[in-house]
Amino acid sequence: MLKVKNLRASVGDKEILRGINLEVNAGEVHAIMGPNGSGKSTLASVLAGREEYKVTSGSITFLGDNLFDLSPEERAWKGLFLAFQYPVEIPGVSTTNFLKTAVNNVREHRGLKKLDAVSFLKLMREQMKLMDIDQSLVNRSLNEGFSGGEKKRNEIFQMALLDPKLAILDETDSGLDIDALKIVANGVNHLKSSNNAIIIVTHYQRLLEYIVPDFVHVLFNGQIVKSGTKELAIELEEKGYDWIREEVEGISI
Amino acid sequence: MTTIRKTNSLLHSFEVYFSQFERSLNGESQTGWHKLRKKAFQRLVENGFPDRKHEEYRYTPITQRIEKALQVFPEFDLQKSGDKQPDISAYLPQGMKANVLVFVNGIYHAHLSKCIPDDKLHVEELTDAIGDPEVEKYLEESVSHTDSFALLNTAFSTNGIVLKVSRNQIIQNPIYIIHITDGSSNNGVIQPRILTLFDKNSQATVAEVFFSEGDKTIITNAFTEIRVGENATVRYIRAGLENNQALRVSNISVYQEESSTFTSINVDMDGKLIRNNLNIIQNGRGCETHMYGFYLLTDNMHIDNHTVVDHKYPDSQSNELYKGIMANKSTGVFNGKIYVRQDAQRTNAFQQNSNILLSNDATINTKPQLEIWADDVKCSHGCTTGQIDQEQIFYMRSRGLDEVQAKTILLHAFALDILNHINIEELRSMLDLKVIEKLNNI
Repeated sequence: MLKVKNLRASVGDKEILRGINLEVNAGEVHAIMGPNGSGKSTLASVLAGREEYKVTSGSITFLGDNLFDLSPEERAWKGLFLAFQYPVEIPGVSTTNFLKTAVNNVREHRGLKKLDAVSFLKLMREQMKLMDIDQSLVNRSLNEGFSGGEKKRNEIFQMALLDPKLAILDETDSGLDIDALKIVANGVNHLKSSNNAIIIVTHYQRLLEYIVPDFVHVLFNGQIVKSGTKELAIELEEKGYDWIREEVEGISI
Repeated sequence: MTTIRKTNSLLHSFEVYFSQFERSLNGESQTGWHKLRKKAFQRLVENGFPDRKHEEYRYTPITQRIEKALQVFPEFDLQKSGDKQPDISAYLPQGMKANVLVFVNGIYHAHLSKCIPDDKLHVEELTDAIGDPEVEKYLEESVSHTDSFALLNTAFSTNGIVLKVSRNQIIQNPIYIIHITDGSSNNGVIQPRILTLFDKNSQATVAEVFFSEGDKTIITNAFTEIRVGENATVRYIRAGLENNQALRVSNISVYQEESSTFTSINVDMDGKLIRNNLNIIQNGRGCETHMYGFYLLTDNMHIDNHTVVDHKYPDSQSNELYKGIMANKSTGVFNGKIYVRQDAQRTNAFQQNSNILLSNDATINTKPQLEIWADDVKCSHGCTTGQIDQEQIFYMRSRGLDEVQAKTILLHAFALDILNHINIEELRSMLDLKVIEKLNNI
């Protein structure tokens, strides 16, 4: 589904990703862990098409297409979804209208019929139940005045509505209490299937207790320095990231 | 005096017009009203028209534009009334129930107007209202107005209207005033004049909407006075939907008595050069004033909003929010003054002007001003000017909205913040459609 080859990317003059290799197939859950500043969010941003990040070399193919040829919206239409670490507040824009436009745009590009207001509301209600989203939340402006937990739940709620092939959850667990975390994890597990894939970008192992990854990668200094299974995440939780640093820097000496 | 004339050739043109106008008045030239016109014109001659050095007109070369128009068309037909009988329904928002008052080229047309009998609205033509001591008193006061364009209107005032809402009266349906500027056959200067008197405890919503037809140059110099009586509540909406030839100066003078509430919503999306002067004086304790404005400028449009609110008595408040979008090579101007006089203790006054510039060639000149003499007040003012938030655009695009959709949604939300204050639903929808149409073409 996704093939990242020797990806290098920078912001301004600073190189942040220094040769990432990653392959994600349908039905898989990948966790990308790493200390602050290792490049986790940069990787998520590059995948979603954020313009501030300049790709200097390497390639990414997504479902057979060169990802760099696609605009952010084209990526969404094709089935890429990024759950933002910090969802932006958009005052005055109705959550419901925005979601309806988004869902119908995506449907149109996937050759599906656009939903009329009634069918859309029906779909929305079903997914609201899944993510324990209250009607008053979707009546409000997009993310405006939402609590941290509400914003994160709203992200996964949108993921459910858009039904992506590949979802990237960027630090979706940060700032969540345990109840909100469980709701988010349940939602994601519910959406997981053999046809889609999920990349979880996180600093902590906590979320991975609820969404069990097939693969865990450790990102350090812009490179994936270690890959393994869920046991690696537990080891990181226990020992912190220092041993990785020592290992990596030991090698480089 | 002569030096002013030399520097102000526009004044000279109007002197010629004024003597033509006087000759056309057969016999009326000795009346009290005409004496007031003469006084107003004399004051205009003393003041002159504002040039670019004039602080209040620095960014808006209205005098030069009118001068230029007069050079091209020296034979301005001053009081030309529309010959055609316009189809009024074309100017009415669909489904709206309202008291409809129609002006064509600055002249009130009673036979085109229609009021709802149950509302018992009192509308009188200015020519008939002369003799009413109240009306004469207010006309007299308008002679001491400091703005040259307001004086010009008084000097040439003819077939305007006086609108009266009596004590305790609640006008259920909106009062909808249509101004049609018909430039299909003649160039001209038109001077619509409206005096509205809302007595104690009364309540009403008034809208003035400007349209234009034809491609001739018509200069509109409108003057509306609004007297809001004690404890009265008035909502006033003003919208400009003219074509791209329109040159308009609007003077709106509001006088609020004790415990009254006045809300104005001003929307401009068309015209070549528009200048709005909104002056509000709080003449009593416990007044409440709300001022909202939205302007959407494209091409070479120039729209200037000058507002003044004068807090003279204690325990009052004012709240102002003007928002604008400037595209292409357009120019916006905002100048908001708040005066809090020494007696106006415990005043709350807030003012905000927010602008979005969509092109490198677009300009906004914004100047919020606060002058406070009282010591126990809460006041704030501010302005922001920026581009569209790219983070918001990216968020929406990553969810499958294309760039144009995302931009339009954001700008529309920006506009709705103001349009939502319009309490005539049909008018709000009409303006909203216009906003969407304009945004889709940016």
